[in-house]
Amino acid sequence: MKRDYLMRTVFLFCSIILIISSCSSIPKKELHEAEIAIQESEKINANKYAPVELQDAKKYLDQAEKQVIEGENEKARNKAIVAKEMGWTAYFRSVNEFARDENESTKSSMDAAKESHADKVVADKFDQALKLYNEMQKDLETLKNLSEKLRKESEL
Amino acid sequence: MRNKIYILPVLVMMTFFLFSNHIYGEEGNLSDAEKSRLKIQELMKQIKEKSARARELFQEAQIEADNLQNQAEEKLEYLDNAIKKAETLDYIERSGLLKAIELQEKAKGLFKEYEYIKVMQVVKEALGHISKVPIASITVTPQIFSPDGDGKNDVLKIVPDVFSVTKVKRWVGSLQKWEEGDKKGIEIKTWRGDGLPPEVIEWDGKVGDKIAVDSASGYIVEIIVVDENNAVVSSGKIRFKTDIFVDETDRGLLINVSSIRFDYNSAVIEYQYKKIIKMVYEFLLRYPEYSVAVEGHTDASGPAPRNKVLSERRAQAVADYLIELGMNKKNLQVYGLGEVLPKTLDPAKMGLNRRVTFILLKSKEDILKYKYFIKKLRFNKEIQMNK
Repeated sequence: MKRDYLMRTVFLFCSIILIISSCSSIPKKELHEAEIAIQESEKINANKYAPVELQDAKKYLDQAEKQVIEGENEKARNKAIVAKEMGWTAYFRSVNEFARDENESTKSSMDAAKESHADKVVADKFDQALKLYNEMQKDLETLKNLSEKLRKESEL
Repeated sequence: MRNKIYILPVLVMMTFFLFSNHIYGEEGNLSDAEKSRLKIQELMKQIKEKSARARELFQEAQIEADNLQNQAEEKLEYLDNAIKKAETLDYIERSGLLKAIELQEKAKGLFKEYEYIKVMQVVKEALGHISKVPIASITVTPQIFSPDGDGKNDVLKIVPDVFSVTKVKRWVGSLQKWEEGDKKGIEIKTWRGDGLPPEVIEWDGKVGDKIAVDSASGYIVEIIVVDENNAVVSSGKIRFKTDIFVDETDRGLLINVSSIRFDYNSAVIEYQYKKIIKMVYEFLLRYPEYSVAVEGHTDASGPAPRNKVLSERRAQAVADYLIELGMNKKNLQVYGLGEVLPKTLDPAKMGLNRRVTFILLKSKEDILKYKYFIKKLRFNKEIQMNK
């Protein structure tokens, strides 16, 4: 008798936990993560380098937000997850080109400064900038290797 | 009893398993690909920061080098003219003149080696041999003064350089607002003292507690010295500009530039206002992640619906020009506010209300706050009209 009572208590406890953990609430976390993925992509001009992926991410996020309004939280959650994935896809497709453009723009500034003989006239400031530029070259190399690694891992 | 003891840890473990992701997050379970992604994000952040800082430093170095080169060139030219003039004056000693010519050659050599600061020192020395009056010059930094307290270009530094074989009795420094085409500047600030001016005059842009300079305007600085023979010598007028300031308003951060004004019933941008829009564009380039609300306004003549359409056309014309200059269309929001936000209520100055203004929107909250403000404004206006 006592054993039955105990088993019922355990069953009830497990059921409560399962209900709490799976109940369908507004997918705030997923929506927030999708928004972050899109924002990060926009910050590195993904609209220029991966416009299709970024548009898709926004489209899915829009749909997710509409589904939240309609109370279809589970569908919204799935859409938000897809939006987040698409957002990050846009981000990682853009990183190398964005970094290349940043590098080219910095190099143009450096060349313009050299043309004004800033490397001789205001050597301190020029060297400070050059040091950052050289550090950037190392970062770019690491970025290239990491992207390549990530690409291979995705192919696998 | 024994069963209870076994079941309790099982319950605790189940609970922990179900909620572990919420408690500890998911970082503990990261795959290699996810770790690479995080590293890439971190690297991108560093690359962005380093490239922005490096570009800023390269540009500053370029501007400083160009300025020094221009100053050195001006000094050499000044010396050249001074020598030519000295050759015609009988009171200048021959030995002094020859020494000045020798130093002029030295300065030219230094110029070729890009030693601009040394050029200026040598020129000053050369002038000392032929000049009977003090020689004064000044350098002003930064070229774009921005006394907004953000730690960048907040302090204006005026460095006077006075050379005199006679004793300098007193000096006066003046800072005036001056725009191209102005015949006379408007005095903003003066400094004065006895003897030689200090090595550097620093100014935070304030008179009393208030910032005394306007946003995106031109200014000139001049130092005048008077020597024991009452010879009055000017350093010449050196120009600098102020940056665009941002003012906090109820509807957001108003970009403080002269309004882009329009003719009556017109949405055509006049040539002189294109310069201001270009200035705003250059300012916005520094904040690529922010949006900007382009607000069109009209005066109160005409019916409200017509004013709304006209103000939208004005805002759109300015937005189109910003896009033409290279601005990202996505960062622009166009609003026609009609006559609801006048600059002045003075009927004689209604023309000032036919304008376009800019509001900087840093986040989604800013955008929502702005939209709410505009809605409220229109609502209040409608209530007023119904009354």
